[in-house]
Amino acid sequence: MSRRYGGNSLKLIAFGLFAIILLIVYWFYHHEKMPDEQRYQYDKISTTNTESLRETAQDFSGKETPLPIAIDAKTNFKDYSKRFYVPNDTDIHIFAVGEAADYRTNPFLFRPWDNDGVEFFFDMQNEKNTVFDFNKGNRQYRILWKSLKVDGQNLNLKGVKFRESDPSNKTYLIDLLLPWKSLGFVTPHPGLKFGFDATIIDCDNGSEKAKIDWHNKLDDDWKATNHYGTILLIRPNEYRSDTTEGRALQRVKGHSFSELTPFYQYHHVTVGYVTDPSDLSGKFRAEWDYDNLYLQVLVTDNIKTMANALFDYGWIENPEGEMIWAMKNTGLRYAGGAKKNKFIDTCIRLKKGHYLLKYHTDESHSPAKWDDAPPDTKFYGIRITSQSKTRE
Amino acid sequence: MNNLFRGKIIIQARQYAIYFLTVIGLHGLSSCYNGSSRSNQAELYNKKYAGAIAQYHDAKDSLKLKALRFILANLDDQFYFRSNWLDAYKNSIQSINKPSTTQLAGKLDSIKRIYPATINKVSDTSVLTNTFLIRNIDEAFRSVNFKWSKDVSFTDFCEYVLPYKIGNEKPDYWRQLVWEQSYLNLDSLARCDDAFSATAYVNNHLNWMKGTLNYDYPTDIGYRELKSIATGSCYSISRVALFEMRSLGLPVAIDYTPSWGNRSEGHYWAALIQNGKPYPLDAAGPNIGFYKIEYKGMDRIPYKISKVFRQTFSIQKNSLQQLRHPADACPPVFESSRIKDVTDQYIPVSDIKLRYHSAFKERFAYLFTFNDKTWTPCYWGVIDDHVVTFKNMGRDILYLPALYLNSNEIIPLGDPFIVYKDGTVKQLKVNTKKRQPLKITRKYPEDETNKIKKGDLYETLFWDNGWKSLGAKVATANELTYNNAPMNALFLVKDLTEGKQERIFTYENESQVWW
Repeated sequence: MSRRYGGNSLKLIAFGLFAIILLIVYWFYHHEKMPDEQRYQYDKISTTNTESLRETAQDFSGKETPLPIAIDAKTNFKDYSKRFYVPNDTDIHIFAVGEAADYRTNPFLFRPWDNDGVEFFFDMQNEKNTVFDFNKGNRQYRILWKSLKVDGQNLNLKGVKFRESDPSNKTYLIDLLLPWKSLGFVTPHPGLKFGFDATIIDCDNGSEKAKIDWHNKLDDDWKATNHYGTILLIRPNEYRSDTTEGRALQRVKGHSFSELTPFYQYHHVTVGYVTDPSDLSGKFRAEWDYDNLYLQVLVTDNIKTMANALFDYGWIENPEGEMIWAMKNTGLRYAGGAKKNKFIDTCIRLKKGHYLLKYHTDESHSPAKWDDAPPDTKFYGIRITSQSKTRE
Repeated sequence: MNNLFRGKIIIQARQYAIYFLTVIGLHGLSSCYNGSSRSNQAELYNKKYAGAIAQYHDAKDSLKLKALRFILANLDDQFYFRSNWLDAYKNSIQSINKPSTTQLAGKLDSIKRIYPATINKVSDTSVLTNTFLIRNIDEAFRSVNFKWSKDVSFTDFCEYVLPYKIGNEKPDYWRQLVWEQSYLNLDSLARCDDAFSATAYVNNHLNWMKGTLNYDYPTDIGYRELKSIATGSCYSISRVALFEMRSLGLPVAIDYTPSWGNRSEGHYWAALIQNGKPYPLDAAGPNIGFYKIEYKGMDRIPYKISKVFRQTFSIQKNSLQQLRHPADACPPVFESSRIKDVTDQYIPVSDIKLRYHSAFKERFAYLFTFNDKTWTPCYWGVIDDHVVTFKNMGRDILYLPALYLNSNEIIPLGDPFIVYKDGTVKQLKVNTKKRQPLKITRKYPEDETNKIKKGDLYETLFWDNGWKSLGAKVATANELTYNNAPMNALFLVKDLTEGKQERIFTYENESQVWW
């Protein structure tokens, strides 16, 4: 009986040990798999592209070819690319057809000038403080182009007048008349100095694209008048150009701005980017008499003539990825059919070398699925030929 | 010859034979998960609407009979909502002339405080009569007598013109109401030569409807109420467009993306269906040819699409709602049998196949995109022996594969991955053993306010089967720097001081790349 009992005990102990080993193995297994949280990991992932909306006819093998070369953009959602070379410096002819829209063809796009405008900041005591102080007569005037109103901070608009005009299709002009009384001065005089700054706001797409400034170097500098420049009131015969301060020339009664009154350029880009002076630039000038201060700003902004957006377009790159030429919002002509069909027909000179011809199509409007009338040109895309070939 | 009336079938059987054939037809159409209960329903519908069937049979109008069969075959689970507070709300706002969204929301709040919050789902069949169905069908057929009707196939007519309702609104005689609009008289419409110009004409006259991002009626409402409220989100405006366009025989659908692939929210739009292709327009906004779904302005980041669905009248046998057991957890966005995946009609797509192992016995897995705050389900796939395929997924988007256990719980099935424009895929397997310096200049890619602001408190997180913190710190300049960020990770920056917008990004060539 006892032997039998002893034998059972050994079996029990062995079973217990076996169970413990199983538990340890189980613990190790799960300890490795899930140390502190549930975690799964797929061991294979693959994708298969559906062909229904993809290009099928073009050859993009990467083979380099001489001119002429063309990308026939047949479908939407495509970035086309073809390599080519020119053996010598060559005048080339580019013909490209694409899709572009502006506020005139699509009323739901922003008008290019929406939220464009100018701002003036005044520190009438010329105290050059570290704040913009309402109690010290600091003032901000803002005029959004075509908005027909003046707003800002700490304003007295009594007697304030302004006028806007279009000297050209790439510029706009704003004239502002501020009675001295509205600025807090009753008796201005030659030699009077006040803190001043001027800003131009460019919102190519309704939202702020760039700001340029006469004196401030940072966007927030207007909040501290010690960043402002200074305007000095002088008589016309006192003007000298060798000064960094601004000068307001006394106005001859009944006259408008004198040719002698100097313009001051907006030098500092405080927000965004400006590609060149035609993208955004400006200058202002000031005159005064014993009743008013007169300001005038001339803004150059090529957005006035630009399409809001290019949707299907082409360009040329060098092997380093630098853009040599591109369809841009300016210079496009109507290609027939829907108003958004545009083409460009131009010539440029390419240096001997290797290039990439590229064309991008967006989500809609291409020969695969026109969503409006197609262009009259049978061709849609970009093609380049050497000038000599074209003449033949 | 009008496509609609091609292949006209003359049925000469007696009334009882019609019943029999209709039952057989409905039975064939109802091959779905709960097929047998569907056929029982079909028999009930045939009995209930025997009068309408008999009328078209006796008149030997086989096309209208076919149209009626289409409606009866898709009558299951057609419903609207009824409650005392909804009725009270509707009555109160209809007395206000052009209510503002604040007034509407205020009225709703005050009424909900008075009335019990109960709301009942009412089957359409409880209010649909033979007379109603006959009038709807007759009016739908009257609406296809325009110049553009010749391009409408009978299939498109049934799906996009014929239905007596658009969503879950209470059935109503809306076509007659639309025809009473002065700008929709025959003289005005005579200038429209085709479906495109007619669609544009109607859409140009929808400016009485005021779009708003922050208000929608609590349930789908009919044309009569929409005319009265005259405000709503893109969904409500699209519904108005559909009521008006369908009443003119234009085959138009509501297509939508429930959540953008690279930002919060989603969007609904209307689409004219021509030769099987959708031509999208933004209701009360840009017309076909002007409307871009992804483009939102020059220099602005395009909105990316992971999925486009269409609201249909017909039951979609391949919808998740039809395929799942009642016990299978399902995100609310897929709780309808009337959702059709039309992504490949809009964008280039890829099928994504995953093989994984988990202890869960779920029958469906999901792909999620990030909606600025959380992961949001964008599509589902059937799991078959630990392999799941997600069909027709948009590209250039980052996805997280996961199981959905209930409305609040998701179990990731592995690392997030990116499907690039060309369809290639990259798995973001975070490497916490290898670290890198990280310089962050923005928390979101939209505008100036999303730049890192000196003085604000930020927390940066990385994804490792869940969000893990790299630490919170106050920005001492207009950028945040970390020296110990893991490699190959997905990151997220939260501004703990102010602001809402957050966006996931990867770090490549010392730059933030947004997804």
